[in-house]
Amino acid sequence: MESAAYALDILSKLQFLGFCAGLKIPDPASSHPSEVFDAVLAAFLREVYPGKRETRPLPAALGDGRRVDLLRLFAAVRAGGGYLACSAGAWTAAAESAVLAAPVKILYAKYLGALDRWIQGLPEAQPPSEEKEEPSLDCNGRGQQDMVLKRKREDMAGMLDWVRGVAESVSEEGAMAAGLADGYFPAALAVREAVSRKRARRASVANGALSQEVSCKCCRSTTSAKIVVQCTKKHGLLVQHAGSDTNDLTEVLENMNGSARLESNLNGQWKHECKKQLNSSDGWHFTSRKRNKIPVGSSYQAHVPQWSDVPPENYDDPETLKWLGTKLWPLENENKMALVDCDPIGKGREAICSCNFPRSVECVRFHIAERRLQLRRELGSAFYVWGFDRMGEEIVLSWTDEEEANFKAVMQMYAPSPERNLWDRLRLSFRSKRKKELVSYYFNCFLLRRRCYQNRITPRKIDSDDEEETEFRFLGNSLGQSATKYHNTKHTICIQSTNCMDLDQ
Amino acid sequence: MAASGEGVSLPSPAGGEDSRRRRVSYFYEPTIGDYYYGQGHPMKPHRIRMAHSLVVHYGLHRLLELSRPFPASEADIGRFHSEEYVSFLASATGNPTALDPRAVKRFNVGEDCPVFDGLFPFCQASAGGSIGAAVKLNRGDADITVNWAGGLHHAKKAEASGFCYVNDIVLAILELLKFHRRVLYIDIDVHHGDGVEEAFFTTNRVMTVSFHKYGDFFPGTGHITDIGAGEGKHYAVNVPLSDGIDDATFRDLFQCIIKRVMDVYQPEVVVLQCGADSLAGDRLGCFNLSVKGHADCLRFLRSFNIPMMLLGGGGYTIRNVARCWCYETAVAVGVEPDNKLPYNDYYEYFGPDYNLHIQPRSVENLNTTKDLENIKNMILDHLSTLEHVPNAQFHERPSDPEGPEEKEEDMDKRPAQRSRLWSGGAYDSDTEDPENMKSETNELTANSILKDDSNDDL
Repeated sequence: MESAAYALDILSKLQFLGFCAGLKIPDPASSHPSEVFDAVLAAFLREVYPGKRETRPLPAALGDGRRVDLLRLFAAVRAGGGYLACSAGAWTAAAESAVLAAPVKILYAKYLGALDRWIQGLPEAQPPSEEKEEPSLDCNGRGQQDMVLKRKREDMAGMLDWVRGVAESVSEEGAMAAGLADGYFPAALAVREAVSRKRARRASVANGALSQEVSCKCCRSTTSAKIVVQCTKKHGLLVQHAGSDTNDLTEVLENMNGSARLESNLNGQWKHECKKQLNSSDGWHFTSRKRNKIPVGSSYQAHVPQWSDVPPENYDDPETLKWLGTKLWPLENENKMALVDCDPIGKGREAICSCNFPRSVECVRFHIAERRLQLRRELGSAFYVWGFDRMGEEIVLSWTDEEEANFKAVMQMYAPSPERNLWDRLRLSFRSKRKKELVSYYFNCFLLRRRCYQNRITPRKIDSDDEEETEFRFLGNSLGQSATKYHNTKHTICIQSTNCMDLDQ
Repeated sequence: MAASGEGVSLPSPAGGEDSRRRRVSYFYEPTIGDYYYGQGHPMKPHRIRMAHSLVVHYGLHRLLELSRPFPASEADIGRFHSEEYVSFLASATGNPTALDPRAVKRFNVGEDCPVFDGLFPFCQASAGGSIGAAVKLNRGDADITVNWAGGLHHAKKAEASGFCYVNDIVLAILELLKFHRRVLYIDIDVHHGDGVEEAFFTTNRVMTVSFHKYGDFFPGTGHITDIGAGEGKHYAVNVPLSDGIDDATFRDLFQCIIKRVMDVYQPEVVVLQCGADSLAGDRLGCFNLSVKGHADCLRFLRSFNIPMMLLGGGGYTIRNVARCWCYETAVAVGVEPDNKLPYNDYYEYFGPDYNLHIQPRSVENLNTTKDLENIKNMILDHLSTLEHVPNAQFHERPSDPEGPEEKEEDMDKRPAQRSRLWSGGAYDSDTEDPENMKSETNELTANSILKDDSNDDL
């Protein structure tokens, strides 16, 4: 049984959002709770739908004259998770509690839809989960899915129109009020939040110089829609971001809509908007923290001497010749014979090989080892000077299976962590290895193994650069054997490597 | 001008129209791949090692001279950077508590430009390679020099920026300026080449041309109206682009603008920053170039037969960076490598296709024809202001005595070439390029490094 206190709680929430500012309920204790609620709702609807009072007369009644207890209806649906999240069973229960027959949902939408959307965005007694941050964009009811998706799309289109209108319009109030009714404000905030999160993830190490984060403190709180409007103009909310942000935004909207694809005209609207910005020279604004004018002065420019036709003296002296570095190739006492066997320059790999399982992990590892052997023969000492003995999976030969498993475990635990303490952890786990060795293993073995896995198991989803990706397993041992089975080796075994034969002397 | 200055369009045979070999000198520091910026940081020196592995496994080293760079000293780096900044870099350690927080703030190290273990040796190798490359060109030891560890174009005189600490490009250009009156710098990294532009903003001895994404993108400079200041006015060119530019669009714009630049500026040497973050699918970039499209810039420039330096730069999808720089090394030496990658130490990075070339993505090219026309016209207008007074630019000191070699050469617009310390030249006696001045004044000497290899395979 809902009490007047519940209704008053709704009122205070609305006032927090900026509605019903001057509304006072005379003597709430003695009034019936649903009447209190109706009064609050009436005031709210007046502000949200100015001039449309006729379509929502209060108190609400069905066609046959039976009164609807909106307070109960609202409370029941909210308890069920809100308008969109409510399951079919919850709707039935809500209908019963409000003493109604069938058209509960339509009635709810008409009278309480706006209220549902506004209140949904506010924190409840229980902490809101990640999904709730995007208000009214969840979709649980299967039967309603198509309708809901269509509505979401229209909502998005409407929201985008509204934001654009607000940004462009001169008079604040008109533009603002026009769209607030349909819950556009929280939707817009939610989308912006998601886009910045996505941008932040895409950008480099810190959101410093490389990504332009528009962090607007005044927009964080939702106390006043008016402030949002001012911010929208000042910081160019959404509409005015060009280029990759459009793709970001579109992606985010698509994700939020689940599997629903945005209408192509929606995309078109955005791109058009962004291009409009780009074409006007006033639109060339950016939010970089760095200066955008090139400074001039002795602290900035290089000193460029005047041209002189006289060449510099002593260009053959040691000070200059040192810059030529150490010549590594061609070798002085080059073994010309080794060159005869070599493949033509620019040749790639053969299309077919005689391995039992061509292109398998084992086949690839064999051919790589074969290549390295040929290279070692050809390069002679240069093979070592250029560091080829420290490239690729040769490194793994100095690591035991256990160490490798340990490395992977530490990566899995700490790579995604926001504390950025991965390498501290690795150093702690591998006290006998220097950091240089760990880094070398990481690039020469660990990442290669991950790529090997991705190439065979998730070929559509490959990434050489996402450090947080740790969902994979090693295919085979260091020689590529048994790649189709994953062994959990408990013992460390030293085996003589067959891909590292010492050919020198 | 060089007859083959029209450049080559895709697809092209080995080396393009101008398939004559070039002498290419390549700098590589074998420890460069061991440097690590830190957890989660997108800049990975390991990519240079991957590129090197591909270069060698394709056999391209047989057409290169390979050298380990001399590490630049504090004094060498101080030729451009401020003394305090260099001291700071030299003494900065990877231990965060040892750093002076004021210095950290002042020199902009920290997040984007972290202090990592071996930061200074890394900078020394990068700068040493680029300065070495410049000296090679100055001495005439090579036609094209390469340093993939260089190209760190954001570093400023007294601060780090955008993952760059020491601006090896500025140091290299300062070295080139000893022997070349005019240096052209071209930057095809997706980010504006602000460090280099700023360093040479007020001089006409260096013209900087940068193609980059502009608009809500790092570093924020590079507006089309930034054209230089003082004596350097009109000697900075900025080509601001939008997301998704593709091979064909980029090539048209690049060739059109660069051809005009070559005509009016007539540089004696070209430095090309080959930042690979303008490739499709880059982790931080937003363009849509394929490796072939990216390399077409190099191919076009190569056809002008001017000494050239190739430098690295950005590039954050490391498998594509390796592909790109390997392929560009091949273009430099005049070889068209097979698309099927040879088996190599980093083979699995390149799966599941294991091919050298990449496909552009299906993203929209936000650069409209109209935008591009506007940009092209504005830039050509800027450049035309240089044409009207060619002599004023080229002779700052009218009382300069002219060297004897100028009288011998019959060049209408091309000004005096500095005499080389050695006069090695083209290898093929029958040049395809009748306008190439070099073959008239040069002679083969015993010093030419790859003389024996000039008639080898292919």
